[in-house]
Amino acid sequence: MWNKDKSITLSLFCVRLFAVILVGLCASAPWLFKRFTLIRFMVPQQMLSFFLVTVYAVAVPAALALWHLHGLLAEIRKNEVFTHANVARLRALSWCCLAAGLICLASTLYYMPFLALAAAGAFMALILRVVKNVFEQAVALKDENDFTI
Amino acid sequence: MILVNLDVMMARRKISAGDLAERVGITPANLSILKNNKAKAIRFSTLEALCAALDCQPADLLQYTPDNKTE
Repeated sequence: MWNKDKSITLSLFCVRLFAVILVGLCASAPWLFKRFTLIRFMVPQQMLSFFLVTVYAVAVPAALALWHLHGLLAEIRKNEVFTHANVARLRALSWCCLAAGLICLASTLYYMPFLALAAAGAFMALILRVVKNVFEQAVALKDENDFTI
Repeated sequence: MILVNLDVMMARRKISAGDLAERVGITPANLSILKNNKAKAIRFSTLEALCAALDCQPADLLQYTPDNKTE
């Protein structure tokens, strides 16, 4: 039977899987993007370094976002959902998405399709910001409720 | 701010925190929150039970003190 614990376990597994994929992507980025530039008939020597800078720059906020997601899920597993720490995690997640979006936006200078990723990153940042605001209100309500005797 | 003078009434009635918590039907931890003025609100049902247990009026338990805010 599917339940809350299994759902959180699946989410944690996915976060760890994404972390492994991120490490794999970072390790294989030079080879991967060399192939990509060849397929897209670009000049590898010129474009490869640009792509690598973008990938490694985006990897930092992505890794941070995965770290915060892992922390958030671990807290939810302990039934500590509406806490100030989780609000801070959601805020950090939102900034990570925005940072990745801005890096992608800067990368449109040499490769226009990054604009889609920039828009997706900014939109995710906005959604997370709204969720963070909801969490902030929920924490205030929980505090009020906890201290109502 | 509203101060809860629970410890004063408890001393007058010579009742321990554990006994009062049991009579009122709240946990000792929650009673401690009330006693230490950490509570943000008090339910009428809790106030009623406290008044019944301590044989007093709400005014004996609650006291209003103006905040000392510097403007």
